[in-house]
Amino acid sequence: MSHVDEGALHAYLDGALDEYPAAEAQRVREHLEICAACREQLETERGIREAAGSILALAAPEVEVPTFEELRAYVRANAPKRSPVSARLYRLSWAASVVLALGTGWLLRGGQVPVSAPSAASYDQQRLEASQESPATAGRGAAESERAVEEARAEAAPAAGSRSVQEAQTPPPAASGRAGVVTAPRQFSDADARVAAAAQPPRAPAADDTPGTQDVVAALVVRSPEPLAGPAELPATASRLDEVVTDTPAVTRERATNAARVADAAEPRRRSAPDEVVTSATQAGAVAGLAAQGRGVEFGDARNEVSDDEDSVSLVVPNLEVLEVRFRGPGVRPEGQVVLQMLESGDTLQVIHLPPEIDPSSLEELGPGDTELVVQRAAGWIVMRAPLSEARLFDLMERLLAER
Amino acid sequence: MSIDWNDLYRTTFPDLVRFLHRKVWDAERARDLAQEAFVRALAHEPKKPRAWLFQVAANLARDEARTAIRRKKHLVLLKAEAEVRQEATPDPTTEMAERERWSHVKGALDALSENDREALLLWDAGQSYTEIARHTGLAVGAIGTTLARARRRLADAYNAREQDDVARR
Repeated sequence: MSHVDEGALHAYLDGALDEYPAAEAQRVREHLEICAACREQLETERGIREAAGSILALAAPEVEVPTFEELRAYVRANAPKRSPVSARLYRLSWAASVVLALGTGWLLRGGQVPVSAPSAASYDQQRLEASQESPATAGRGAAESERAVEEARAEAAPAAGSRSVQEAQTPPPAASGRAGVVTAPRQFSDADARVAAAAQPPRAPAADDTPGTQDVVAALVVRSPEPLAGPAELPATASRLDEVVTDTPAVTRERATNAARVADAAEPRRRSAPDEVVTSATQAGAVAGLAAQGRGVEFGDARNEVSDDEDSVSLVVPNLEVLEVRFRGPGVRPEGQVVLQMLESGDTLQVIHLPPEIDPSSLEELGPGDTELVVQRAAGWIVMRAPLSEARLFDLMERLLAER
Repeated sequence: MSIDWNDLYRTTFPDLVRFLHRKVWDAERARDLAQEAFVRALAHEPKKPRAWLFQVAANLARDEARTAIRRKKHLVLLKAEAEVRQEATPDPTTEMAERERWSHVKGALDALSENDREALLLWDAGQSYTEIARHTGLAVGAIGTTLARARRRLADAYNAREQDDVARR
């Protein structure tokens, strides 16, 4: 009969054998009765177990427990005064109204936050340096990989600045609509976050575009803790999101496609095709950099068009409890809005709306385990963050977009 | 089956604080987060409240720096206690010794893998193997092995830190 392994010995010591299959638990007990070696090992493990318990006890805080009545009183004092269902709806509608009002408010101001804009040449130089550095990055440790992500992130910032310049110089198109997307992995190494960036190609005027509905899903950026298998080749041309995202992992592809469909359904308009799509972007922000060089990528072109629209943004995912709605950024001039909602797991979902001129990469670092999904729309960026899988985050984005 | 929240609160709250404390290393913060977990549990009334509380607590600890908890940091029911605490003058020597102790324990815990650490802290907070398995995604049969490894590494890492300390003095 084989000896009892250390895991079963600890389960025995923890009184957890009953949680094992009955036959296994019985075997362990019987074996310990007849095997002196295992009994000796059991005493060794007992010592380790007690030592670990003592160490943990050193860091046990003294806890004063408020009474349950106090907790109840607090909950009652802060609970909505309606029935659970209507209360939730009320909260959501209230939050949606606030978001709507606030969103309209700052959008109507026209987005005048100044952004410093480095030249396209300097941006090219940065990209060149980054691309030269990439092969070496593959063999780095986790810390260096993190730094690489930081560098790529820093690189995205000037790109957004460039975008602003391009926007200022390029007259707004006559029509709008999501016409295509390019996904672009940013910088891949062993433990790097994933970044897929997408850009919106130029659009031909479409006669049936509705003025004032410039809500464009123009870019998707996904970052998550899981590394990608490797950089993907981007298609040379694409006119459909479905085609463009084929190089991303299956689940991402599916969800991105669904997200696009939802966006389409929410805002039906003719798609111009075929479209020119920038294909050489390999890092987040690169598409924006190309835009600055006038190569046909448009970002946030509707910034100048929103003054007369209903293009306010709902940041509330339906059926999730709203915890907080606030402006982002210091001072009187907000740099966006943040809505915090509670997921069923108890996790917090952050939905951040940034004006077009605010670079999403300027946001604070992702929390550990968090995934980020960024969608660019005419009215700015929607950034979603939560410790969820990409697929789940896409689901939530779909629900948010569908809610508009 | 209806939940006896009073009993659950009484038996689980200290465990929850202990669990959280080893994650945020701030006793008051750990208590705030534990209370927030209970507030959410009362609102949601989950079917398996104890497991749910620990799951939520772990999530809260993870994103506590950026969640809405900040605005709820000073719960009304804590006010009186906070005032009492302010009146007490802590002994600097005791405080320093405590900080040093915590630092050693924290360092030893940091030496564990995330899964090992989580399993160990959940066990120490009174979770069963089944609950730990559900929380970590491991099989119940793997919890014993995980805990055995975590305990040994914790003891080794702690002892190494202690010896380093002695050598420095």
